[in-house]
Amino acid sequence: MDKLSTKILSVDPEASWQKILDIVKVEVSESNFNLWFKSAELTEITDTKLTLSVPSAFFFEQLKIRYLPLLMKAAKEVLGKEFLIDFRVDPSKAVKKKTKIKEEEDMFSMPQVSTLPRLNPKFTLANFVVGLSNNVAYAAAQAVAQNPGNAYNPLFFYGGTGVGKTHLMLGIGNAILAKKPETKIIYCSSEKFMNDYVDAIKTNKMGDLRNKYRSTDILLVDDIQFFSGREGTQEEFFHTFNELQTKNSQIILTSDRPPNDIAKIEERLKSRFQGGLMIDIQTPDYDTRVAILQAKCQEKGETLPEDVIKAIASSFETNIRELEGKLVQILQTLKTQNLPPSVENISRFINTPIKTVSLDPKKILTAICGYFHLNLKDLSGPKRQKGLVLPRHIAMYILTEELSLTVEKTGGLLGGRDHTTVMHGRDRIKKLINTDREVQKMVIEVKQTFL
Amino acid sequence: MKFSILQQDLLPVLSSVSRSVGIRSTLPVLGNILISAEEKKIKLVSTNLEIGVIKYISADVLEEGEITIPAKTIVELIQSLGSVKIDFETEGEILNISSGKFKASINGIGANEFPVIPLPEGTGISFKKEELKSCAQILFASAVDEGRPVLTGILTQLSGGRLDFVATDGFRLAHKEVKIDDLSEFKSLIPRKTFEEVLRIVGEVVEDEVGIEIYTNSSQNQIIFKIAQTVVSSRLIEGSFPSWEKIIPSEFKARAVIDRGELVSAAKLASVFAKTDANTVTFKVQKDRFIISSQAKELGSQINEVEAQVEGEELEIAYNSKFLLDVLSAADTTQLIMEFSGPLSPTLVKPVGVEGLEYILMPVRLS
Repeated sequence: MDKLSTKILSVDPEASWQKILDIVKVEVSESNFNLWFKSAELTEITDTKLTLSVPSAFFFEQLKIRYLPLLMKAAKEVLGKEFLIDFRVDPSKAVKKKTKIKEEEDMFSMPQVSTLPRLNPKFTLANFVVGLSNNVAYAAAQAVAQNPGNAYNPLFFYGGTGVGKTHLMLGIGNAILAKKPETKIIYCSSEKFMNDYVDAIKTNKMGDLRNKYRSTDILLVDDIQFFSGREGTQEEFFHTFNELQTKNSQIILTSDRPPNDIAKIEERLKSRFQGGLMIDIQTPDYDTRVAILQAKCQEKGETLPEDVIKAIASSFETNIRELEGKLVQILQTLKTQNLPPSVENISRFINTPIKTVSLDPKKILTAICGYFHLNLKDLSGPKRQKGLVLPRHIAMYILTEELSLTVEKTGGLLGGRDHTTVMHGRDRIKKLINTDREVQKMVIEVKQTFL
Repeated sequence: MKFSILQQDLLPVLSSVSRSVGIRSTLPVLGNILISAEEKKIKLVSTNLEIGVIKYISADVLEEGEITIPAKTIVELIQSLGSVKIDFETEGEILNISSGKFKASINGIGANEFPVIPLPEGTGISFKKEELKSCAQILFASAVDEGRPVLTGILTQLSGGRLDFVATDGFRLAHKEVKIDDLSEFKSLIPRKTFEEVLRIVGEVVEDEVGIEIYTNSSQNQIIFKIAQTVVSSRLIEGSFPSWEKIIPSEFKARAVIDRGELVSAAKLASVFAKTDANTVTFKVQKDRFIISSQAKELGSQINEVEAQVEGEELEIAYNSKFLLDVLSAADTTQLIMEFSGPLSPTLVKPVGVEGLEYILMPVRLS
């Protein structure tokens, strides 16, 4: 008997619970299983008793009253003997992971509403998903957060839209604030800096502006490329930059392109931007996209099966913002239509291409010729026979309206015709579509040949 | 199951219960209302697993039984029927409804799929419904943002014959105190949504002199309210609430009695220009008046005076206009007492003539 009990005690509760769940799963409907059983956990196994921890009394009552016999049967099958089943309510399970409960909430604080905008707490270094495309940037961000002002100054992130530049920048800011809450941080878009500058000139308060920006410990400026061509702003920023750098204040900048490619930026600013560390952030690769989707799901307290996540990740090679948008759309639709998350159910989101198919004008002209049984030479040639004119006008209409080609370009494609000719042809078909059934039919049928 | 009931009796109960169904749940049965016919009465139940609501109503029951029906369908249907007698009868998982020439059958789900609502055990504490009703004046101060879950709850604390309700989001605090004849002790954090629902249900009770009973089950982290023919069972929020007593100032540097209406209009005017940064409105507290000013760089500025009887020293203090207006609108009496304990310390606001209600307003640091 002694041996038996030690044997049972050594059973891993988590593994046993998995086995029990496998048995329960086939006995109850999927939605019931997901709701009632998935959030429960087997926390303790003793000689005679199993203790399950559940998120709230609703779960306790439901499992005890509706599912106790089933649980006992499954437990007997898995563990080889009868057990009593006990329940314990563990409210911390009801709270989504992202909001961890502090032991004691802080005392009331003076609202930290000074003139400085607070940084969005959503963006932290901890929830930044690191992958091949951004690990260098992440490492640099860590270094700067550890040692602001000294590691790399300025730190310059560049890359396309939605790759995480702002996230990293705010993540550094938040990390520094967490360590030293009294740090003065200014986060602004380049546009805000420009407006402040313009306002300061208008109201004759340049002193205030200088005080504000030059007294900060950390300066974060987003989308610096918009400084392009703003000479006054650039000069002000140049001086701010110099002063901050001399007193070892950290400067972090982002842009959608490297400093050298930003047009109309003074050389002295460019060289200063390049004086620190410049890092290119690429759009995420497949593995990173999978990791990001998993992180986002967790953040939202949702679960999606792995194959679904992979399917989403492989079908969108886009930036992270669009990826998240798609994920939200999918989750929302599944929720409102009560569909279980499976690859089939999400396939219609995946298959809708984000970009519209780009059509080749040459192919369209060939399609039009094919439809009317003409030569491309005749269609674009100088002859003005009746049988040629209508197809030619239809071609003008389709090229300008459907492909949004310019009238000049359309004219060029059709044998160097004048743009006014094209406009006339286009307008004629526009009118005819509404009045002439035959023309309407032709246009629709032609379009069908290439769409 | 078979019973008959008058539409005008059923509808208010049904709509009240339907507010707590689980709309966005993965489990379809949570979108349903459980209808259960017992001896001489029927029971309507809904739950979203945060809160569960049970209501009883008397009816002419011919055959006991139960079924669950989609809340939306049944509410729409009963709403559209006029004041008539309605007959209900189940046929397997279908509910047949008839009234005169009208007949409908609704597809339901078996009652055994419906969750069990945790019910009270042991003894609870009880007090009059008016006392709970006045708690509506503190709700606004609780946090809406889930970032600090503890602050989305209303602290309900019974100790030494005093029942305290406290709501705060860290920037302002509202406190309501009720004296009751009960020396037991408990402390729980009721989710704001539950509190709102309980207040709504209390508001729907037509009878006077209705007692409210509260039961808690701390091991299950659950609270149960019994209000007339209604039972509300809700999950509690886990965590410990900030020690709010410490924040209530015990002494003050200046004390003002002021007309609430005038202060509200002045605060509204000031808020027009308090749009930037911290919505800052500045008060200069002087002997016989407040000078209230606000400005926005882009918009302009305003200045205004409100009469006040002030004793103590003069000082200057700034508030977030939104938080200020929230307090002033909730207070709801003709006169207010404001007690200032310094430009960087919390201000105490008390409506004159209301027992046990007070507000704490955090100032904004002037830059």
